[in-house]
Amino acid sequence: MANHLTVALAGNPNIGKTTLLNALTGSKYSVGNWAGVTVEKKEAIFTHKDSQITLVDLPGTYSLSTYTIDESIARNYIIEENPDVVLNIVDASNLERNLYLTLQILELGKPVVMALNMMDAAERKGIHIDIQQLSSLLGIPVIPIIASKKQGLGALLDQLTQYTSIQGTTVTYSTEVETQISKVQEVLSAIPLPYNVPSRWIAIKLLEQDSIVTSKLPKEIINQFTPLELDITEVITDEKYEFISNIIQQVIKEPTSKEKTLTQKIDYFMTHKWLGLPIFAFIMFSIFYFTFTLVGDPLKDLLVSWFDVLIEATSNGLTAMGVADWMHSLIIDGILNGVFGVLSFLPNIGCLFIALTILEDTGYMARVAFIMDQFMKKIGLNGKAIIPMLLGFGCSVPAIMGTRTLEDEKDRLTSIMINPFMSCSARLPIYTLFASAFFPGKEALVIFSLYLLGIVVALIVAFIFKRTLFKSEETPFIMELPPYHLPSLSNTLSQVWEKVRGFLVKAGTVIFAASAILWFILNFNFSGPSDISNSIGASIGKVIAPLFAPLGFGTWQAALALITGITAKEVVVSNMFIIYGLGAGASASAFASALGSSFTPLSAYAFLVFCLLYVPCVAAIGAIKRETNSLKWTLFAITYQTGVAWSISFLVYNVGKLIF
Amino acid sequence: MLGNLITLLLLVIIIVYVVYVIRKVKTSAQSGKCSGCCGCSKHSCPSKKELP
Repeated sequence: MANHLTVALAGNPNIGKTTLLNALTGSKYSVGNWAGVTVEKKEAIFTHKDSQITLVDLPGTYSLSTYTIDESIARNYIIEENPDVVLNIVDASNLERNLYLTLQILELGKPVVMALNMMDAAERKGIHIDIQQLSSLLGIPVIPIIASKKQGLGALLDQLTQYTSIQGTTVTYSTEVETQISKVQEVLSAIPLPYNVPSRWIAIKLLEQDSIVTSKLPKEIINQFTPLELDITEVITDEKYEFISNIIQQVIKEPTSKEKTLTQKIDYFMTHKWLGLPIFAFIMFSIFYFTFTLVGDPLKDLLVSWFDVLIEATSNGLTAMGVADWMHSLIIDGILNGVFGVLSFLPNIGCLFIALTILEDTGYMARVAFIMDQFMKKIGLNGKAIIPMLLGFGCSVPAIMGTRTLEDEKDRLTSIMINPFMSCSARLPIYTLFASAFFPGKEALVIFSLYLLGIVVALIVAFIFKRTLFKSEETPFIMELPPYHLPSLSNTLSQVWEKVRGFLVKAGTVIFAASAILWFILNFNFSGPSDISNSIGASIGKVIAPLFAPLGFGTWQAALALITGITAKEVVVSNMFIIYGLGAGASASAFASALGSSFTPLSAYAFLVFCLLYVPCVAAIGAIKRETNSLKWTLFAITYQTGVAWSISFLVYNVGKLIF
Repeated sequence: MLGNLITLLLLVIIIVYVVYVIRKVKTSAQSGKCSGCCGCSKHSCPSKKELP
């Protein structure tokens, strides 16, 4: 291999960085048509001709200030890791806004290649860009591409591998600002610089009183500069936009027609003040109807019949080999029933994944964030917090990490604390099991109500926190609504497969181990083999069960399922299959009769509410610990979430008893 | 005799596998990585050095 090249991929949020990364490298990173999908850097290595390229995908940012953690990650990487070249991906249909980041990158003095993405969207809008003129004004190569269709990638890679160390154009500010910059540069010339970047950039940051840069410089240097009377950050920003405006006038020809685009026409209804929320509720309900009644359940019946055949064949095989009875029971009644019991919900989960992926890909999720912003404002939380909340429908771990996009630390803490209330996909098998057993024909409505309850509880808790524990000033929220587009089949399939693969891996690892351990604790006590009601598992459950008696499910079986469910929520379901001796292919009526001794429909619903709201799985707890970097807040999250779950389940059960 | 041997072999395999999974879950929880419910263990969870 002749060359090795490290390329940093930088750009605004939601302009196709991850799509470009996947197109160039064949990776399958998660792609969504909304901002905030990438909150940390990702790396991929591939070859082009005789060059090996390491492509580092940085979080999408509008600038290289350090207001948010993702901006810090992007800036620190460029100034500290010294990539050979920065690949600045830019939205061709929205050039003016994107160029602000470009100018900031150019000030860092790194070689830059610009990928002008979404050329098709620009053409559809009737925008014509003079690419040669743009390249000459910025002093860097500009390559037009359409990442989603893999167009222009060859030329882009050729340009990257032929990069030179020539720096692009930087903004020349007004005389007053330039004089100040020169003065600081003169002082800086006497000391070693903390970063391998032009002293001009450090001088500008020093004038802007950038806390990270000033912390790296000796105090005697900092003390030489008294804060200026004028707000230099504002002046520099204004002058950058003036510079951009000049570029735009020279390179862009826009249509004069003011006719509304299709996106604007659709958005009139989707983001309407009164219609937006009912439309969202209707879409979510339709998804659950599709997930359970229409497609999911028929597919589930088919899958379960295959599992039955597989379990019977395994059972016959073990008997033929003369395996001991207890081992036969461990494998069939414990592991296979537990694992296949959870796997039987794969069609439902798969359908939900498909629906949510399509919603993301079309750009609708960004509209949901916009609709929800009015509620977020009322509770005092930054509207940006809705994005990690929506991510939480998939898995709480990336959702908790997604809170990094929030500037205000107290907003971030609030968002971390409420995120586990959003119903993650791992809870879906529990809902499906209980809804099909106790609410036949109304599964979609029951599950929809739980998702809705999760959102409402999260908003109420955030409202309380923002007025007590995490009081802070309101920060502005600007959100760009991407244009709608038809979901790409390959992207949808690839993302759904990644999620399904994750579910299968979990069934083969965590659920497998939990089922084996559960079988053991349900078949042994401290004296040896035992019947289930005197087993270790039953003893543990009986200690905890009284706590749940006021909620209507004070049995040791329910208590044990909830405790083991902390490893992974699906384990609650494998527990039910093993404890009640249900085969993986058990029908809804078999569930109903088995669970009927421990639950009524009302207590079953209270149990589902508890499962929705109580302490999240260990991985999510780990994520909370890591993102808050505090054992105190982690313990607080565990305790208060369980308290909230208990209180609301109590209300549901006891108010329900008065009504029904 | 063969039945006992197979039983023993299966027991060893299950114990080793369960211990492996427990260790994996423990590492996941400590690092804040999920255990794969959405496939994000590989793709979305940054390593510790990437933390600010």
